[in-house]
Amino acid sequence: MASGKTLCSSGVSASALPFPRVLSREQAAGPGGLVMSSDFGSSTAIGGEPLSPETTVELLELAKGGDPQALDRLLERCVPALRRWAHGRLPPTARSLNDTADIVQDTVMSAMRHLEVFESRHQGALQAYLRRAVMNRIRDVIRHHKRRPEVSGLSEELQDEATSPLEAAIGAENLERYESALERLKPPDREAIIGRLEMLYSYEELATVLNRPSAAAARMAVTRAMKRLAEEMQHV
Amino acid sequence: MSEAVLDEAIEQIADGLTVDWNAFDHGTPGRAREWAKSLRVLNDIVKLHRDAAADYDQSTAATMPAADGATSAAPDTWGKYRLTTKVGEGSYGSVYRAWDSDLEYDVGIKILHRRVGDTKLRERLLQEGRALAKIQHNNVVRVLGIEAHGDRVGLCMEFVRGKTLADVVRDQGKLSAAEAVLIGEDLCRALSAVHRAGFIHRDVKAKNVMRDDTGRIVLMDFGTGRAAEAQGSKHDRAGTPLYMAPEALEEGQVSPRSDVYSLGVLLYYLVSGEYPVTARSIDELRETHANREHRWLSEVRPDLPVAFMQVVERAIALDPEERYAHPSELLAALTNLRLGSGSWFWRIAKPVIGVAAVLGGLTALGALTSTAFNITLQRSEFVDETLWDYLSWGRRSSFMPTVVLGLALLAGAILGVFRRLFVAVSDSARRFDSALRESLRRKAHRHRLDEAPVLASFALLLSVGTVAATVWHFSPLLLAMMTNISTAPSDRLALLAPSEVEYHNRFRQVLSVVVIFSVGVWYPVIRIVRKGQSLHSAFVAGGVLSTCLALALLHVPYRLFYFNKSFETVSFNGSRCYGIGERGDQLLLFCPDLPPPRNRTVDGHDARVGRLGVTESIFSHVGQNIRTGR
Repeated sequence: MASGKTLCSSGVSASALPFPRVLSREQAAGPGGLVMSSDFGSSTAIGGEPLSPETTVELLELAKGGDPQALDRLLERCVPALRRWAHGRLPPTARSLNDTADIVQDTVMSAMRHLEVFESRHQGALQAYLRRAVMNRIRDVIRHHKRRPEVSGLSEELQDEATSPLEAAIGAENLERYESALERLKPPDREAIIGRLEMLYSYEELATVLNRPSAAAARMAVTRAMKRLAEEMQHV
Repeated sequence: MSEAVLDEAIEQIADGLTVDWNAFDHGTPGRAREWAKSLRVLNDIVKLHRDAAADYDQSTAATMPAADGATSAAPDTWGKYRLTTKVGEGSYGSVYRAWDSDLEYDVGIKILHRRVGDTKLRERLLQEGRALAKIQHNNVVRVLGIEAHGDRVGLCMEFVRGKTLADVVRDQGKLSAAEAVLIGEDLCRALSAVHRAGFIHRDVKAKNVMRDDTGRIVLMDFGTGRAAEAQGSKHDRAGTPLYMAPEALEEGQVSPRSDVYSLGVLLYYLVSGEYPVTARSIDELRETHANREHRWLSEVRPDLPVAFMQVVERAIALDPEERYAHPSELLAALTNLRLGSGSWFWRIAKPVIGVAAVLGGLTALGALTSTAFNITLQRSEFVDETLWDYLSWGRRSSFMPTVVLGLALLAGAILGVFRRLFVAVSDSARRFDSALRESLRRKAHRHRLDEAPVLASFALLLSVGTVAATVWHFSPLLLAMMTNISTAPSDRLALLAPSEVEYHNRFRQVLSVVVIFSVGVWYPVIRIVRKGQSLHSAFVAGGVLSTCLALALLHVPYRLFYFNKSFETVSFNGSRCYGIGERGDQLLLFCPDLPPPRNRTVDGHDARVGRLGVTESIFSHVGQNIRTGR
């Protein structure tokens, strides 16, 4: 587990990359920055080391230059957060620790092969790129499970074996509403929502990702974005 | 709903805190509901990601060497314990079978997720562990203590060798009511002990109850349990949704009654393998509760004893006030079931009582028709009838109504078979059938006919109304059959003449249908009551009275209508009379041609009496047919 509070944001654009075709969920994910934190679940601010986005940018440059150690360190920073995030989105049958780790590891390694075409533009692009790739892979896993005989009704844990836990918890219709509404928001609002609600950043971390002056400003950005999102959801 | 309420709710969601959804009930209803609907989705999304992240962190912490150097423990040891097997995993922690190297025995350890780095949370868990260790009950897993190693806290428990009830149902299929009652009793005792210690379990479910190798039932997993007074804290929806009482799901309001609900769902599951409500998402579950949709146990397992179903349905009543207030109340109800229905005495007594009731009923009906006959003929003093005679009259009198009942049941069965046949072979018939049922159900719901008191009022009204209309329609005949033949006007007696046999038949046929109808209208009420709704006894009394009245009217004239022909014709003073009773030397004569009183008591040897040696109906020659225009 990463110990620092270092951003896994590359300062590069994901838009120029040869992405595999992705669905609305991936488009909705947008270029969100990513933070490594050992205190992921906490809603309170995290103290400790200052955030250092430059480090990741430097690492990325070194990795692009062919430095294997830099690549390792980059992965160390990005992968754990992606694993936590992916854990909640994988169907129960593919949710064991090893499966989550393998899926994320494989996908990230595969995506990193395209590292050389990365072009630095703004924060969080590397993580957003990786998240999209992981999401694509999760979709494949879900599709694979759905080919099995259908399980009807709701299991005790509200989880169908071939359904992502998120879909099981809120229902396909609500997930669709959420994703469609998210897609219609402006990218900064999207980043704020995904960062806070899905990636569970502290407001300090979010301030860095969203390029806001303070945690309080990040909090306000999140509140505003959520209000817009909830309003959009009512019109979907 | 104000902007402030909205902003506050949004911030609470963003911070993973409990949202006060009640605040959305004020203001413009439609608008507030729309906001609440969207925000609930966001709330669920946050909760899911937080739970998954916590789960992931915990799993990582428990299975991998800690990378941050917080603890130097090897991956398969935790303090003095050697973790041998991972036996369970949940969002609050993983359970391991472990070996206590000091005392040299197996223990179960639940290692909670890493967030216990938060010192407040850690302190709270330590407090809970201390309190839980005080619960000494055979049906509650023994908590040996709570220990902290590194930055992780774990709950050490006895290691129970056996199966969870979920495994039992999966392997052996549905349980019988008797087995479920025994398990339910043990769990009521366990929950009472938990509540006495000041805790609410909050996660009673098949996976959290074990049956050990000796058959002992053990309540496990206090991962989500918390002190009873700590209401509405951050995790407002801990527990397993389908087992959660509506108020716990909605408001996070937990109490002994919410544990009773979960136990009721567990009993439902044990005997049926299903749940009283079904849903594919938490939103759907909320909606299901709001619409009061519910699968009655009688629909899933109609073969179960009614009393058992009533106990389970009361335990899972949506309204907490309707449930048993405490597990001890549920325990008393379950124990009553076991003692009341399970003893050998009742098993033998039941069929005996059933046969005796039928024979007693027939005898009573026979006594009714026979006595009424004797009173009408004023010959009570001249007859000496036994119970056997009454039983014989009752049997004969019940024959025609039984045939009508049989025909009605046959017609119903044929209709049922045809319906099933059509539904089985034709898609459109199936759609029509389900649409019709659904529409009837909705209409019944709209008119509150799915509530026992409302439906019972309708049934009572129909039953009493039908009986009253019948009485009104047949009033001349009723008057005739309840009259005193010795003094009644002769035109009234004419209604009893054999020539009126069709009228008599019609009366009995109509009354038979009325009796069947006035019992039949109570069938839906009985179904509702069987499902657990209660009904005031006045309704029952009213229904029984009205049906008994119709039944009495049906049986009273039987002997008078059809058995008035067995009396010898005699001449008395030149008049045609009938010997309707004999006591010693005394003869009771009915002389319809004489002016009232028509009954005469004479000496059997009286010279004025001449026996003619023929029998005929005593009403053969009375009056004229006065029913012209009826």
